[in-house]
Amino acid sequence: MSNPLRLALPSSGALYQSALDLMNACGLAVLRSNPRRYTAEIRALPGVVVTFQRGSDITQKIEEGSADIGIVGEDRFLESRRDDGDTRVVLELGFGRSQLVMAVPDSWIDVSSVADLADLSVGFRGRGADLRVATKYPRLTEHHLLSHGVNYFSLVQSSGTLEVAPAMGFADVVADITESGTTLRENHLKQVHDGTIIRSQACLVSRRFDDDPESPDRSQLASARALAEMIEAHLAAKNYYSITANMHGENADEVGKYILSHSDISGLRGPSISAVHAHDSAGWFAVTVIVEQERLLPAVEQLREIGGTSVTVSKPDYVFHSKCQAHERLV
Amino acid sequence: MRDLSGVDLDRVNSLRASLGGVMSAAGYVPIETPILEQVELFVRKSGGDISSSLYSFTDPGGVKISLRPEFTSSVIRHYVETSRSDAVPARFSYGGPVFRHDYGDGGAYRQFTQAGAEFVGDASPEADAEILSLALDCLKSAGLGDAVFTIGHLGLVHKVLESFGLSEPVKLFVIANMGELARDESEISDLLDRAQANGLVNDDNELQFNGVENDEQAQRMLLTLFGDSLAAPLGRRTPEQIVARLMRKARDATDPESFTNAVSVAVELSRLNGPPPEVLDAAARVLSGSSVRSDVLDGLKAMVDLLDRLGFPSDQTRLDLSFARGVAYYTGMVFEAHVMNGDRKVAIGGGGRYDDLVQALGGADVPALGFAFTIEQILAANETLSDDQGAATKRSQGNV
Repeated sequence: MSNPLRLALPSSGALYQSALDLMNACGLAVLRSNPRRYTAEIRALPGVVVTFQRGSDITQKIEEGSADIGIVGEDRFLESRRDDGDTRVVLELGFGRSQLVMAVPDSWIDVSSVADLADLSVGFRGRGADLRVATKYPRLTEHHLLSHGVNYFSLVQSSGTLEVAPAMGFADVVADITESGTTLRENHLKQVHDGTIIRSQACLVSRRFDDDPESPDRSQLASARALAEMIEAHLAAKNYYSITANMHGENADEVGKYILSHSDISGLRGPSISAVHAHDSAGWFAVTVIVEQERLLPAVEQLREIGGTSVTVSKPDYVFHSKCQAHERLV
Repeated sequence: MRDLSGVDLDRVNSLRASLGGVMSAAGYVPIETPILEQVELFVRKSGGDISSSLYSFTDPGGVKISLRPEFTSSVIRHYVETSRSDAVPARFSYGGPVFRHDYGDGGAYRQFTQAGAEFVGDASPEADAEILSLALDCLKSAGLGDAVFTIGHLGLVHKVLESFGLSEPVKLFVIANMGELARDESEISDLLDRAQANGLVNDDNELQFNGVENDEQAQRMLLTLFGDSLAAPLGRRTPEQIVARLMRKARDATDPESFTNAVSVAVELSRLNGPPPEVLDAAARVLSGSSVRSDVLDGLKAMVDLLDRLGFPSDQTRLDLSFARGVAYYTGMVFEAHVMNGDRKVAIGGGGRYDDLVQALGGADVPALGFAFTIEQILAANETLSDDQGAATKRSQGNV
């Protein structure tokens, strides 16, 4: 039997439920027989075994070969990936958005930018101390500080609550994840200019698969592609509406030409038109077009103007473009 | 990193030897320095440019160590440790492997070979001309006598900005962004916005201490004003330290008008680019229409005249006043040499004047300058290394 594709999902934290919700919405419901089990399956993709892992471990699991593909925050991925490795981002998933930012005590009224921190760190150095930065992201933070001219600092790695580090005295400033900045403010911390280290969201990350048909990777690649394609098509569908209206005309060709001459309703490629077998009169056609989300109201308006009636709008579950973009990033 | 063997190794070694020969014949004493140095040495020098690409680790004895990313810091450290303060001028030459980590680009080699020279203790235009001529002689011996030299002058730009009353942090900020402005990639108003966001420009003179007699009084005033907000966590800083720094920042900040005027003149200068005599004439015209004293050009003019007398080929020299490398570090003349390999510009190294470095590394206030070439780049420019190796080193010869 061929090897299953091992999909690693976050076992807890902010991304856990959102990742399961996304899978569900993509028609790939994850069946976990009980919440203490760390494996699960996807009925729609029998070639996939799901394992639940700590978010901070998923990248490493893929790199060391005990998982093939996973959902993880981009910040976590960049913090722990090997930059000479093959693991890459296949899709950005549009949830779990957050930022890793530098924050300093509110009381530092003289500090408004990372350039101030550079200057300040020289002052600390002069007093025989390093500026202490508490973070769960030492690698990204160190690189950001060094490339912004902050040379004298030491990193305090902490897995607990970072916001209290300055108040408790084990660090002077923090590099922490924030969504809205509220927690920082409540703990008397403020963000500084140039202090955004990374803007992050949940991502599908994967190892590279060999696409040689003879390769043992073949079945795993097929499963990975199916997984990525379903997610990609689902995410793409979010941008579109499907609109159907009834229109009167001599024949389908004439209605089609008329519709194509109106830019808001000409659709992704063009309208699909089918005859309506109305009981009272002939010459009615159902016209369906796919439009981008923000063009919905103008499109409905144009349909009305040209005599469209009974306009119904629905949300497609999937939009498959001519090519699966994610596939290229899997091989 | 990679292995070198056979013909490639022979070429690297013989080129190193030939450059070393040129430099020692010119009186530059060969020196070897350790591959490992304390991190501190490079961090003090680079002002951030190189520190993010250091290969650093803590050694078994608990000392923070880096593989050297360049030679200059080590050579100057050697000078500071071994020379009497009056031991000037001193001339050194060196060659060997250096190491730079390159984030996000697995394609570039992280070990490459540098050869170069340092000249300590001479602030004159003659020294600038000597270093440029030596660099050209080295390239001639390597078969690249047709290399083009792009020469800039951070000292000139510093002086122009200074004459508008810009403080050190504001000047460095402007110089770091000058290239963008010269290439019209951003507007002066964008730069002003960014300077304001960084607290380098104070738009409403919010901290003008009119009627305040002295700093002590101002400090007491601020401590009273900000008393409440200074009660929160302080991260090992006292309210007095915070207020003192706030006052210093306010003093260093410039007003938007001076900032804009200074940047306008600097941008006009930075758009000048061409044969040295023409650029100098044009620069004099720009300055005559401004409040800047025209004698700021004297040093650069003297150097250009000297180069001319030394027979430095003017058709291979471009003066580019927007050219800035390692702004926190270079203080005067800066240059870069490149050759065209088909359509591709191959940068092979460069250098300049860093008059503050000796003091920053614990020595006396002694001027210094130098240059370094990347051996692999010279070989790539000569197409004597395979394509793959030439292309791979193209990112590896930034600041020296």
